[in-house]
Amino acid sequence: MKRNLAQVVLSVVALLIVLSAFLPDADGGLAGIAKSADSYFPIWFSIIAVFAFVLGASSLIGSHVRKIKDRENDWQYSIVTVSSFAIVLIVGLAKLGGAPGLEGDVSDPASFLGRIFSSVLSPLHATLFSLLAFYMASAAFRSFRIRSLETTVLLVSASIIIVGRLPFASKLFSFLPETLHWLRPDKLSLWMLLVPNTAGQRAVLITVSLGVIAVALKYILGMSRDMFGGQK
Amino acid sequence: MRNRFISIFTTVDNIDRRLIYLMLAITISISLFADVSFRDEPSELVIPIFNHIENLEPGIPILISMEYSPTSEPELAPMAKAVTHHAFLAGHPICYMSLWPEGGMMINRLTDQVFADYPDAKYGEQWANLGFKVGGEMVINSMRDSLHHIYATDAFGTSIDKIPLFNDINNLSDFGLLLSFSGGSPGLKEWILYAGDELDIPLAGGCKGVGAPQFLPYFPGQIIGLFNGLKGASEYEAALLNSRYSIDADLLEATNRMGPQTVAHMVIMVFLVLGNISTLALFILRRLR
Repeated sequence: MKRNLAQVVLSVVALLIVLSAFLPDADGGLAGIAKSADSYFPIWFSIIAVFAFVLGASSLIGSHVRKIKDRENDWQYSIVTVSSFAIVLIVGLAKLGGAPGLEGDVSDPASFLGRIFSSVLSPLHATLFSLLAFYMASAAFRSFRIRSLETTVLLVSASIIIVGRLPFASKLFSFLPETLHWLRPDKLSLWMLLVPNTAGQRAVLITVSLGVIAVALKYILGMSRDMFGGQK
Repeated sequence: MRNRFISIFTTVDNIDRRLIYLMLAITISISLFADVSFRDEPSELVIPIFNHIENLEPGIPILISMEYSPTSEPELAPMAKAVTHHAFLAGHPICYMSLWPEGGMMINRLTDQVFADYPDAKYGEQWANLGFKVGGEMVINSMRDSLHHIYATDAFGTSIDKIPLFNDINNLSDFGLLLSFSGGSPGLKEWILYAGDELDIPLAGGCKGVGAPQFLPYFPGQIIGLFNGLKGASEYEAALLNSRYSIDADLLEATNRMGPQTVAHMVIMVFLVLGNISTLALFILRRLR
């Protein structure tokens, strides 16, 4: 019964939203219902999405507390996760150091939460992401080699993109006559991004979209109920 | 002699990756401390955004949605700053918002820095901050119909009905340009699908360098332009510096940050050349044997 009810809600909501995209703007009839559904459902979604935070947080804490209890591998890191979570949650909820009450910006830079963000989270994120540059350089050195046709294509295209991204790329090969300007690395790299890349990306996008439509139809028509849990 | 060459090229071919890391660290550090910078040129990806803002009638608001966290801030914040400078100088009110929880902090950081240079800028008239709103693409969907439906207050808890900037803004169609600086999802793609395509509003955005290939299929039809990583921001800054506005070059971050990035690119190219010379040389020397 519960699963059937969930299926009915899903099908009705999805069909109304789909219809709203195809029906003309009108205040009455099916078009009017679809229009108001399209207008109100997103607001309801925003409200429901807030609960997803609670669900996500409780799931995260639950799994890490279990890890600590069972002394699983690397359980010490879970202590860091749980304690960091608790500290940030308390500091954020109590708006410590910031404007009290419901009014005032929770992300006020002067608040403790703002300071944690700018002094802890921000440098940690930046450090981790900047390490990528080193790994990418090492990976490029090992992968971009003239060993086979595929790796040679990779090497040539990567080199053109890297050189084309230099600020002075337009000045390289500036000695070329006007008719051969397309050979300049900045022009070549842009062409590679706008033509072969776009063709490949569009092919992937259209294929994936068709797949998404097929999967969505299966859910809307009740042909697949695995998302509700239990047997299929 | 041949064995000696084989030994040398084998060493180059199998360079310890720590040496690559060290070379990168040294060259990037030197370029950072020496303030190495290179002036860029606007490309056909950013010129349409610049021209669109130039051609907008002064007073028409621009929406900047900042979907990024500190991870991608070094690449994306300079874009938002460059556009903010431009929009402000051209007389367009700016409304900031974010679909990412970290975005609220990113907006605060950006506006604190940029508007420190414009002490006369009035909050609520020339700029406003709607902060973070949960819901991703559904927020965009709601804003299509009514901004006041989904945003009761700004980021500071002030009712948006009391903010003059929002007097003439009912929904997304009232903005002259939508910009999404996007480090992931929800981001520019959602803005294209739920706002640009639906309402036919001029839309542009920025992304990390590695993310550009996925957005370029939407150019120039569904997005009027794209900031392609830090280089995109530096190209936009070049357009600003070449324009009618007098702007202090020190305020423009991307141009300065492109120095270390360019040096890093050149170091990678040197290693690529070395690696391929050694591969080719080893191939030839082993054939000769």
